Order: sequence, then structure tokens, then C-alpha cells
Amino acid sequence: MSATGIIQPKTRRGRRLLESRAPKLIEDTRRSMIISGHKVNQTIKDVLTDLHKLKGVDSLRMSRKNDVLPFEAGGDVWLESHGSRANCSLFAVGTHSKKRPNNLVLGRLYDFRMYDMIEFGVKGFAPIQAFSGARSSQLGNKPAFVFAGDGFESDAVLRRVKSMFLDFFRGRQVDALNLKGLDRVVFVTCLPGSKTIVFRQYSVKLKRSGTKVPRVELEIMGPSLDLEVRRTREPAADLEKEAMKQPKLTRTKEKNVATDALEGRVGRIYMPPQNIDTIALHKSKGLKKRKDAPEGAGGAEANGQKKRA
Amino acid sequence: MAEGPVKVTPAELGLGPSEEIDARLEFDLGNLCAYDPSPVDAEAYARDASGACASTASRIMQALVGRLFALPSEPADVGRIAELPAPTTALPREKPIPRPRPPTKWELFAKKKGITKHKRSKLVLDETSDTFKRRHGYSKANDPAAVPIIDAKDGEDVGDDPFSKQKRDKKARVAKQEKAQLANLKAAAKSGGKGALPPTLRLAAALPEHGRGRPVRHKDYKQELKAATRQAAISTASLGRHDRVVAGENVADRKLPGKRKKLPPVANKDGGERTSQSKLVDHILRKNADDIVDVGRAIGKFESAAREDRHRMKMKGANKKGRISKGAGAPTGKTKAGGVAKKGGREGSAKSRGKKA
Repeated sequence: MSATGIIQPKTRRGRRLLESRAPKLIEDTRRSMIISGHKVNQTIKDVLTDLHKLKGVDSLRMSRKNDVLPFEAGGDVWLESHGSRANCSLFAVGTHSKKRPNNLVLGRLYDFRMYDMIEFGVKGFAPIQAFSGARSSQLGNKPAFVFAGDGFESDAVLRRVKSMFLDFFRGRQVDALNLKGLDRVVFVTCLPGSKTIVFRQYSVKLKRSGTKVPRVELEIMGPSLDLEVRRTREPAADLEKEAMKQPKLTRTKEKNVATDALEGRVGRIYMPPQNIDTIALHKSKGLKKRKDAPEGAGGAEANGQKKRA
Repeated sequence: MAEGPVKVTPAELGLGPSEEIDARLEFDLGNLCAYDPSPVDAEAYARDASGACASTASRIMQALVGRLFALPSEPADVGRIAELPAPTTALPREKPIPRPRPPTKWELFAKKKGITKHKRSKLVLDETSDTFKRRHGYSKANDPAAVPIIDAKDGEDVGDDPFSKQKRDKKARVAKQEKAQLANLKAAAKSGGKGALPPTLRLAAALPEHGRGRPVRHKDYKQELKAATRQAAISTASLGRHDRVVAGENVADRKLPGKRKKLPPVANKDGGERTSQSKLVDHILRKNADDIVDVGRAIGKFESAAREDRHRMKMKGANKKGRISKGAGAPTGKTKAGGVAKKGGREGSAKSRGKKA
């Protein structure tokens, strides 16, 4: 702290880091903290490992014992402080206890304040390793999402579940996508009656179909999760209103850039006038002064003629 | 090669977005998301969960891929790059919407006065060395502190060192700037909350934030330290009576609070409190019973107030009935005189008009 009461970063690096974390109009990928709770069993450990893998580089694995209970008093303070330090606005906390076996809490922060949480019980699980499908897809790619079931529309909790999964795994916001990179799909459905959620991930293979649209072949790649919804925490009304506010984005048209059917992206650039007399050009033999050329005035005249030609 | 390639429609292959599926699906192509809001076939899941999942997923995914491949796209080195529309699913933001920094006090002033910022070159000609040097900072151009001798000016104190004065002034300028900066930040934080501050700056915890926090001042620290010292001094067997006095410590501070003052009971009818209080009241009343109002003095005051009132009205030009006539103001107090004066004024103006013509 300076004498004036303004706290500033001490190093350039720290300053750059803070600048990179500043709020943006189009936001960066949400980073996640994948947290092992005070007690975890092998299933929950594997679940957390796989979630960490799915998030790729945008994830922080906290695999030691972390004494955090998100739904208890003080739990959100812990998550908020760790989230703001690590710049993570998503979290997954795994615990295992007698009362809540195989417990997985997914949650979001807004402005590093607790936004919402959903607690799941993991009923069935198969890790990525159990399937061979993962070999053909890159985990850093943006996944496609398929949601099926009327519950995601009618039920408030399931609506939140859908929003949570989409927010958790969608990755970077892009305005263009290489269709070749469409190589995995997250499939989520809710079974009627029970609040059981089926989470599957498939690798996508785009096969030739003879038409412009390829034929889709899916292969299960894991992780497969059968989840039962336990407790949920809704966001505070005013916080939700603030978080849901979206900025007005006016996409400015890129000037002098067009697409050509043959050459793809074509641009028109401005070239400032060049002084050819003084510029260092490639010297060619033809421009060399000839030895047998007449000296003095005659030579100058010859040069003048050349220039005119 | 005589025959061309056989053309097949997607419908013939049994793929592509069949109209029935496509109609009920909801797409959010910006998030590469498809949603089928139709009820789930529970029986199929009960029979073969993994098969049902796979078939549902591939059916919807095929429709999604159809939509994605129909988007306008450009060829790339590998594959094609499709332009995605903006996401439509409402998801909460991670951080608040960035807002422009509120203007500083100077910026407001400059805008009001129409002062515009001009770009200035970094290098300036240094007149002593006749070279270009930086405008500010280390080895800056025309640095007043870099000269070996400063000429004394008229009216300057003889004993004052001009070099140390320069340093002093510079320090004062820096302090002033820092103060202004803090004030601007505080005002920004007050009007726009935490988000209004630049991302690299934070106000110290001493400043109350969201109504929390208590300003910590040196004064408070001193009070705390003093209290702790006193507590330590009297926390001995003799309650500090026979202990050494530390340098700077006040012996009087060691004094323990005296015995509580015992108050006589109030409720008791014959209690000491009641009698003592009534005694006191009686005493005062008896003492001042005769001369509560000094009649002579009161009359004098009344008369003087009336006299002053009359005088004031007279000065204002009121008549005997106490009414102030129109156009009064002359010290004569006569309404006629006022009228004459006015007339004169008019004549004067007429004269000036005549002159003009």
C-alpha cells in the first residue's frame, strides 16, 4: 500500500495479470476449480479428474484435502476467495460421506460472488479411460451440446442444470468455427419421473455422405455420469438480474476485406507513395553504367534519354 | 467415366434433418447446442439405456450438423470455417459489464473550459547542451536542478537554499497530485462501485467499502497502545504503585478509578435524595424570591426598544402614523421633496435628449 491508500501491483507482470483479468465485453473462457473435499472416494476422485480433463487448460485441480462444504455456512466465502485468487468462476467440489455418498457440487460465481450451485449424487460413472472414443477427439476443442427431455424446459431445477452444463463445458465464445474441429458432443438428458440426469459424451466422426452435409457417427468416449439432483442454491434475485444483463455488442464491419470464391479472404490495403529515386532497389546489370559510354555531357544526355524511355 | 457420379439426396440415405425432427428442435448455433423438448421415451431407456442415449444423440446431432454446415463458410487450409451466429441461450456473465472510467475532476473542468489534450513530443531541445533530451524524468531537458548556480532574485530570503526549495516544491507537487488521484478514485468508487476503478488499482482497506470497514488512523493506534501500556503497568501485585515508571509514561495514568460515588436511594420516601434535592430547590427559591424580576430594569429595556423602533421608522421616511410613503428615501422625510427630486431627474434626461438632437 502506498502512502496515499491506493493499492497497486508491484511488478509489471502483476499489472499485466490484473489487466488480463479485467471485465471484458466478450468474456474469456470461464475457468474452473476442481476441488477435492475433506473426504473423497475413488469414484469421486475419478469423476473430478475427468471433469478436469474436459476443461483442459481452463481448469485448476485442487486435489488435496479441502475443508469446504459449499452448502454450509461459510462455504461460499471459501469458494469466493479461492475463486477470485485463481480467477476461476466455476467450481466442482467432490465429497463422499455416509449422509451424501458420491457427492458432486457444481457451481458458478458472478463477480467472484456466489451465484448458484447444484448438488448431484453420482449414481453411475464410467471414466474416459474406459472407452476408446477419446482417442479421436481433442479435448481442447469446443464441444457440441445435445439436450433432450421436456424437463429441461418445464422444471426450474433442470433448467438450471442445463444452463450449468452449457456454461461449464462450452469453452471459449467464438464467432467462427472450423467445422473439422467439431469432434465431440455432450449429451444430457433427464429421465422422466426421477430427477436423474444422464450425462454422456460422444466423439463425433463426420463421414462422407455424397452431399454437403456429412453423415454423423458417434462413438462413446466418456465420462458417463448418471446423476441424481440433491440440493440446489438459486441465485439472489438482484445478483441474477445484474449477471444476466448483457452488453450491447455492435459488430463493426471490417473495412476493405471481402471473401473471394477462389482466393478466400481478400483485402485491399493502402500503400503509401514510394520514392523510387532513393529507395534501395535490386541492382540489375542492365542499369549499370557502361564503360564504353561517352563521358561528361554526352553521358548525361544518354541518361536523360533513358529516363524518358 | 461415361457415367457421372450418382446423385443421392440426404432423405434417400435416411439422414439429414428430417422435417419432423427439425421442426421441434431448438438450436443455439452460437453455442453449438441443440435441444429436443419432446418427452423422453422412458421405456426405451429402461430397455437399453446406452443404446437409447446413442440413438437420440446421433439423431439430434445429425440435425445440428446439418444446420452448422448450412451456415455461410469460407475454405481454410483444413476444412471450412463457418461463421457462427451470436449465442442465444441466456447465460449469466462471469464479471460485470465493463464501464468507462468516470471522468476525473480535471477532465470535467477541461471539458467545461474547452481545453483539449495535445500530443507533445517526448524529446525537447536542451538549451544548455544543445541536444535533444527527454521532456521528463532522469536527465531531462532544461532541468532547473542540474545547474550549478541559481541566480538570486529580488525579495528572496538570503538564508533559503534554492536547491532545497526546489526539492521541497517538487515534493509538495507530487503530494498534491497523489491526493487528487486518491480523491478521484474515491469519487469513482462511490459513484460506480468497485467496477468503476481501473483493474490494476484497489483502494486500501482503510477506506470503507460497501458500508463496511472502519478507517484506521494513527490516532486510534495511539489510543490502543496507550491503553495497553496502562494495563500492563497496573497489572502487578501492587497495582503499579511500586513499579518503575517508564520514560514517557505519565504516573497519573496509573491511578486506578476511585470508589464509586454512592447515591442515596430515590424510591424511599424518607430517602436522603429527596430531602437533599428539595432542600436545594427551596434554598434557590428563597434566595431569589424577591428579585426575580427587576421592574425598573425591565421598563428601561422596554422604553429603549420603543425608542429605537421610532428612530428606525423616521430614518425610513415614515409619517407620524407610521406609514412609509411611496418614493421615499430622502433623509428629509417629506413626500413632496421626493417628488421634486424625481422631477429633476426627468428634466435631466430631457436635456440630454435635446443635446443629442
